[in-house]
Order: sequence, then C-alpha cells, then structure tokens
Amino acid sequence: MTAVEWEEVKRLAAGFQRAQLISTTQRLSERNCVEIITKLVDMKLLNIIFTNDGKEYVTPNQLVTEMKDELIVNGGRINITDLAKVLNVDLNHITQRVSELLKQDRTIALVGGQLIDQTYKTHLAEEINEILNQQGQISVGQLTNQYDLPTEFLQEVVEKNLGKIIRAKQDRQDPKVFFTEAFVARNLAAIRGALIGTMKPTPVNTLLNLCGVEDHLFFSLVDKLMFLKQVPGTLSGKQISSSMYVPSIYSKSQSIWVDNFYKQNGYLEYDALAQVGISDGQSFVRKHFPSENLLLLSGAAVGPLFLGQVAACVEEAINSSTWTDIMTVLPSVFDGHDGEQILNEVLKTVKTPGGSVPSVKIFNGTILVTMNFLNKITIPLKDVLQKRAEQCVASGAFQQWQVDRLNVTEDNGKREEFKDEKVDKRDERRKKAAGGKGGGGTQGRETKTKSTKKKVRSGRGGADSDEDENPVPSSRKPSILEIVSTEDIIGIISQEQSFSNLDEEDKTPLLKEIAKHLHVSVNKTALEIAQSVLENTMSNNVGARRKTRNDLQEKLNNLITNIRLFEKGLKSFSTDVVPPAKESPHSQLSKYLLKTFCTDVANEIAGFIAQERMLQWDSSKDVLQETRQKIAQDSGGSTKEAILKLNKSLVGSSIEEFFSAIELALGSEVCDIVIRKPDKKKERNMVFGHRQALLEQMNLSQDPAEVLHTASIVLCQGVTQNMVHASGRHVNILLAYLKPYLPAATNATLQQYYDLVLKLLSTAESSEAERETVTFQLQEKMPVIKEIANTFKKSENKEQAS
Amino acid sequence: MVDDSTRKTLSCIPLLKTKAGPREKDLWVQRLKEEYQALIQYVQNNKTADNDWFRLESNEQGTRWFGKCWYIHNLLKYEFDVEFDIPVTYPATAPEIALPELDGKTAKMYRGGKICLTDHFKPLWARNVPKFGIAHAMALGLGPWLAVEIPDLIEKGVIQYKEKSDV
Repeated sequence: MTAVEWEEVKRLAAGFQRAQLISTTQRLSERNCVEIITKLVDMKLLNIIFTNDGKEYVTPNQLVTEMKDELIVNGGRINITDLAKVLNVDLNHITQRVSELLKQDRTIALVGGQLIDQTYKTHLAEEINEILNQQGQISVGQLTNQYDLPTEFLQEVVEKNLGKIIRAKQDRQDPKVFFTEAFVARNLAAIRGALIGTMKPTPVNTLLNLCGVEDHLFFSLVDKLMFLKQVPGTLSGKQISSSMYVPSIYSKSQSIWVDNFYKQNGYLEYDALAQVGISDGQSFVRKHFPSENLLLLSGAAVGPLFLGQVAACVEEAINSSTWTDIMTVLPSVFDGHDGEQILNEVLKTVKTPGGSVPSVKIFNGTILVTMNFLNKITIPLKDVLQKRAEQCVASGAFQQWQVDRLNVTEDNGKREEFKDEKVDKRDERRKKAAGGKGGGGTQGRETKTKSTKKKVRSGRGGADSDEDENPVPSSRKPSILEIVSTEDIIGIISQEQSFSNLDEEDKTPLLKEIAKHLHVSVNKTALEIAQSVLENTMSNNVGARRKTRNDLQEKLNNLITNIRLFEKGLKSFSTDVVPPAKESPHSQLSKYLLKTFCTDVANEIAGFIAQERMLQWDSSKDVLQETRQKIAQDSGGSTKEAILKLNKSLVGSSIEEFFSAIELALGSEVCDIVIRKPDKKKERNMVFGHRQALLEQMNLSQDPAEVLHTASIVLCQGVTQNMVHASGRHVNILLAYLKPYLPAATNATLQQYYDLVLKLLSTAESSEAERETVTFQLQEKMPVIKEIANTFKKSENKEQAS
Repeated sequence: MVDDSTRKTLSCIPLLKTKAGPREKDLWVQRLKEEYQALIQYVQNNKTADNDWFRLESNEQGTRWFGKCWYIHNLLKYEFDVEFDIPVTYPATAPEIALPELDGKTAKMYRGGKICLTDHFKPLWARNVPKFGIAHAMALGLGPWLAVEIPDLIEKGVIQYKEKSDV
C-alpha cells in the first residue's frame, strides 16, 4: 500500500516538476501593456482616451459611438454626467465629444446638461398627449415639474407637435396652457349648465366651485358662450372675486316685477326693490325708467301717474275748498317726509280751475288746507271773537294791555295808537300777501311766514321797523294779549264737519296746527275788534260822559240827601254807652251808616275817577277798600289825597268827617260835582216815601225777624220824625229807644216778640219741635206787631193831622 | 494583514486535509500527496497568470525541499537559491524558508538565511493547521517577503544583477 502510495508521491513529484518546467504562457502583463501604450501615446502615435481607472482606453470615435449607443439605450435622453459615469470616462472628454456629436447629428440636442434626441422628443410629445387625454388640460409648468426639463424646451416641443402628435389647443390667454377639445367642451358644457341653471345673481366664485371649472378658463369660455348666445344672462366685472353672473331670467323677472309694481302703484319703493335683489334702488330706477319723470324720494321713486293721483286728490280739495291729508292717499310706505316732498311736487303742477296758483296752506307737512276752507272755518269764530273782544274790553284787560304797551315804549299815547294801527294794517296786508302766495311752494311759504312773524313781533314791540331797525329785547316786550286761545280755536274748528270722520289721533295735531296758524291772525282780528269796541265805548263815553256825569251827580245827590236824613235821625239816639254794648247806640248806628250808604258814595266816586282816568276797574264787582286804594295810587295827585281821605273817613265813625271828605272829593279838583243844598220839602217827601216803603215791605213780609226789624224802624221814624237807618242787629237799640214813647203793653208785646225771634235764631239748630212752637208763636203774633206798626203810623198821622 | 492579491492567490491553492508529520509514515504519504497536488495547482496557477516565480524539488521522503526563486525588478530578473526542511512538528509548525545567499544582507532574516516572516504569518498558519501546506507557506511567506525586500536590497545596492540566464 505504502509502496504504491510512494509511487504515487513520486509521480506527483514528477508531475510537479513537469508543471514547473512548462514554459510560462508568454503574455504581456498589464504593467507591460500600460507601459507600451504610455510609450505610444508619448510618441503621439496613438490618440486615445483613458478611462477613469486608467485601465482602459477608448478612441474618440469609439467614445462618440458609445455615447450615441448610451443615448439610444437610455431612451433618447441622458445626462452628460451620467454618461461620464457609465462610460467611465472623464467628464471633460465627454463634453468635448458632445459638441462633436451635436455637429454630427442635428436631431440631437443638449438641454440643461442632458442629451436628448428626436425619438425622446417624439416620445415626450406622445406622453404629453396621453396626459392631456387623461387630464384634459396641462400647463408647461406642470410638465416642467414632471419631466425636469426647462420650460422653453417643453414649450417648443409641445408647440412643434401641436396638432401632429399632441391633439390639443393652446390657451389664447396663457400660451403655456394647453387643453384638449374634449376638455374645453366638457367645461363649456359645465359652465353652460351652471349658468343656465342659475336663477338668481351668483358670484362667479360660487359658480366655479359648483361646476369645477378652472378660473382662467372661465372667462374665455363664458365669452365664447356669450358669443354663441348660449348663456341667458350677463356677467358683471372681469375679476373672479368681484364678478357676478346675473341671469337674464332674473333680471327679466326683476324688471317685469318692477314694471308691474310701477304700473300698478305708480311708485317704486327701494325697500321692495332691495327685496327682489336691487341694491341701489335709486340708480336702478333712473336707469330703468330713463324716460319717466320720476320723483326720487329718500325711500321710493314716485312716477307721474301716482303724482297725478295725488294731484287729483289735491285738486279736488282745492276745487271743493276743503282740506285733504295726502297721507291718506299715499300707501303706508311713505313717511311724512316723503309725503311732504310729494305734496310740494304736486303743488307745483296743480292749478285752480281759473289757472291761478291755488292758495293753500300746508300743515304737518302733508295736510293741505285751502285758504277758502280756512276762511270758512274762521266764520264761526267771528261771533266768539266779538264776544271775547267785548269781554276783554269790558274787563279792562285790553286797556291794561294797551297801557302796558304805552309804559314799555314810553311814548305818546295817541301817537302810539296811531302807529299801532298802522302796524296792524301793514300786518294785515302782509298776511294777505303771504296767504295768497301760499300755494307757490313750501320754501316761499315758510320764509314768508317767518318774516311776517318777525315783523309782527317787532310791531308788537311798538317800534316801527321803518324807523327803528333795532328791536327791543323780547323779554321787555309786553306779551301779546291773548284774547282768543288756541284751545278756543280748536274747540270751534273741531265742530267743522269734514274733521268729524278723522281719528282722534290724527285730528288733534291737525287741529292744533290749524289753530296755531289761525291763532295769530284770529287774535289780531280779535285785537282789532277789541280796539274798535274800545273806540266805540270811548266815543260813547265822550258823548255820554256828560250824561254819566249827570247821572252820577243825581245819584250822589240822592245818596247824600239820604245820608243827611239818616244822620238827622241818628241825632235822636243817645251818645251814652249802655253797659252791655261797648259803644253807644249813636256810634253803632253811625258806623253802620258809614258802612252802607257812605261806602256806596265812595265807590261811586272811585268808579267815576277810574273811568275818567281809564284805569282798570270792574264795576260789576264789589268795590273794596283795597280797590279804592289802588285807584288812588294809580290816579295820583290831589285825587289820590281825596280818595285816601275818603277811605279813612269810612273806617271811622264820624259822619261829619265823611261829609268833609266828600266835599273834598267832589270838589272841582277831583270830581267836580255839585251837591244840591238840602230841600226841606223834598226831604219831607223822601221821609214819607221811605216810611211807606218800609210799611209795605213789612206788610208783605212773613219773616218774623224782618217784620220786627221793619216794624221797629217804622216806630222809630214815627217817634223821631226822621229816617232811621239800622240793621237787624240794631233792633234791641231801637226797642230800647222806643220804650219811653210807647204804651207799656205795646212795649211788652214787642219785647216778647223780640225774645221769641232771638230764641228762634239761637235755637236754629236745636230741636225741631221747639223751633216749630216758636215759629208758630211768632206767626201768631206777627199780625199784632204789624198792627202796632200800622196803628202807630195812624196815631201819628192823627197827631200830625192835629 | 495580507494584501488582496496574496489572498486571491491563497484562495486558489487547494487546502490540505491530512494532519500528519514526517514521522507518521502512512499519513505522511497521504500528506505529501496533498502537498504535491497543492503545489502543482499553485504552480499552474502562477504559470497561467504569467507569474511563475520559483522552482522547487524535494528529497524522496519529502522532508527537505530546495530550489530557486526569482524576482523581476525593472525588467531584470534577480534569482536566489531557496531551501527549507520540514519540521518534525509539521504541520503544526510552519517550515522555515531560507535564502542562504542573502544571509547577512538584510535585517529581515534569521541566521542561516531564514527569512523573517511577518507578524501575521504565524497566527494565520496556526489558525489554518492542517489546511495550509508548503504551497501556502511559499505564497504567504516567501512571496510577499521577496516583493518587499528585494527592491529595497536592489536600491541599497546590496544585491547586483548577475548576468546569467538560467533558462
């Protein structure tokens, strides 16, 4: 075994030797080759290009071929740097060869460091076409991103192949966008659909969102559709954000609505327009009705038709001389301000049948009242005016007012009066003028009224505007004398029939307005009436002054004679003070006399003086101490002194004092009234008459107290032979006085009766039964008392006779 | 470690299987056969690669090997005798290849002309016992040593080109 193996080893050793002896294959090592080639290149015998690792060489031609091959392999597009990597050749060599290559083959292009040949371009165009088919439209920008190629190149490629490979259209507005017919048709259809479907104005933005059309396409497509007349509507604005599409059906229905509304109503309300989508009503109306002569108000436009209606209404009112509130004619959409404008507009055109400008007055802006109507309603006022004026004059308020005016102006009374009259006349004239022009328009009317008012005021101030332009400050001016108040006027004019069908709500302000308007003129008239009334009374006075004076003289004479007679009677009473009374019967009775007849005399004198001096004095009222005092203060001078003295004498208890005061008062300086001397015969007659009157009164009377009173007076007169003036309170004094002159029985009867009367009066509120018995007793005894008085008279008469 | 070309060369040499030293008669034969096969393969490889660089032969027992090796530098062929014995502990111990001609001419050499192998050689060998054989020792040890030392020695003028043609 081992031997065999050793043999084998030997064989192997021999084989090894053989193997070692085999001549080595004669081959050039790499090193040698490199050396050889370096040598050749050095010797310029060889033009080759080294590969990057230096282990390979390429001839330039081979390189160009390889580049071409690579280009083809890579589908016609290859980056130069990639080429350098793939071919393992330095980039410099590649770039050098590229220029050669481009020269050789015109179809190859160098784009952005990439080689691109015709096949790639064709392929690219086909691809773009495919994308276009899918997407419908494409922009070069998109392609640039997708293919990483410059825009210009792609643009060129697409444009070159447009219509050949790429079946699309270039966007006219944006040459970088291309789209297919189908895409355009699709969008067109979408837009058409959207636009046709739109029923109201829609922002383009919304439309775009709805139909998914690109912004930039929209307008060109809409233009196209418009051109083809396939879109029923108009597009406003050329910007996506601001433009609106207004379908013609909408604008048509809008205008139909507007037309209808206008035709039916004659006016157009902006609010209503806004509801149907017209935001700027005024300009719309102007555009829509260029031929119509519309009156543009703040809230509505009013057409001539409607104005005609109002005008008819106004005309009717004018012709029938009544009034009208145009607010009742106007629809509720118009407010007062609109009504005012409409009325003004209407008044410009309205004419009376005679063709003249109607004389009207406008109240509350919308209520037209004809002057005729105003005149009509003032007719019933006249009576009231007359009454009021008379009242005013009678009460002296008018005179007082005039005096106040005089005081303010400190002017000559007569001259003032004259002036006043002048002013009044002028006012009248102005009033007439203003009234006449009232129909001419609001402006004119208002200014007129104002100016009139102003002048009236200055006239009231007493300063004639021609003479004195500076008005007296109003605070110092006497207020106008209001003879007739606005309330009075309202009260009267509200009875006018045409107001009766008005609501209370509407009526009141209207009446107030009219009354206010009328008030000035009416009051003026009232003042005039008052003036004339006063003048009348004044002239009457002058004529009748003498008569009055005579009357007064007569009256005073009578009174004074009476007083004298009473005074004579008084003298019979003692001046001694009887214990229970604080004063003597004489002073008590003289005080009573002073309080009654003497006061009457003083009043007559005061009244006369007041009338004479034109002082405010109400003769109807009771004249009091204060009134006389006031008259004294007002008259001044000796009159004042006389009246004061008279007043003083009245307070006292001396009749003599009174007489001296009367003498002074009636003296030539004050009243200048002559008092007649006492006439015995006349006095006797008077005494007799007085007694008869008393008796008659007593006989007629059923009142126990009165009967007793008159009876006692009659008895006293019988005793004293003089007239006695006493009140019921003085009955006990009279009875006491009578005592010595009468028989005891009579005295007792009288005293009893007096007690009963006292009892009746004092028990006035006590028990009914007692009262009845007393009354009964009194009634029973009344004939007895009457008898006493009558019989005494008779007996006295007898005495007188004997 | 070992350069790429050496590794490549090495990988082309068939690996041995039998672990046996010269003392083990039967197995040594087996080993020797494998050694020869490896060497033949290696030499053939070298020849085809135009890289033939040594001649070797052994005694009958295959314990002592001798021959020539050469190195071409600047187109000149420098040739040296080469000899080594198979150690008793072979294959655990690598054979010590010696170039007696160059004894004392270079620092990278032990007495007797035994070349100083790289640090990597021994551990590499130890790891690959018994797969490595003489062919591997040549490729891994002497080849690289020559490639490093000879150009250096020529530079230094320690060895001169001898005008002799062996073929």
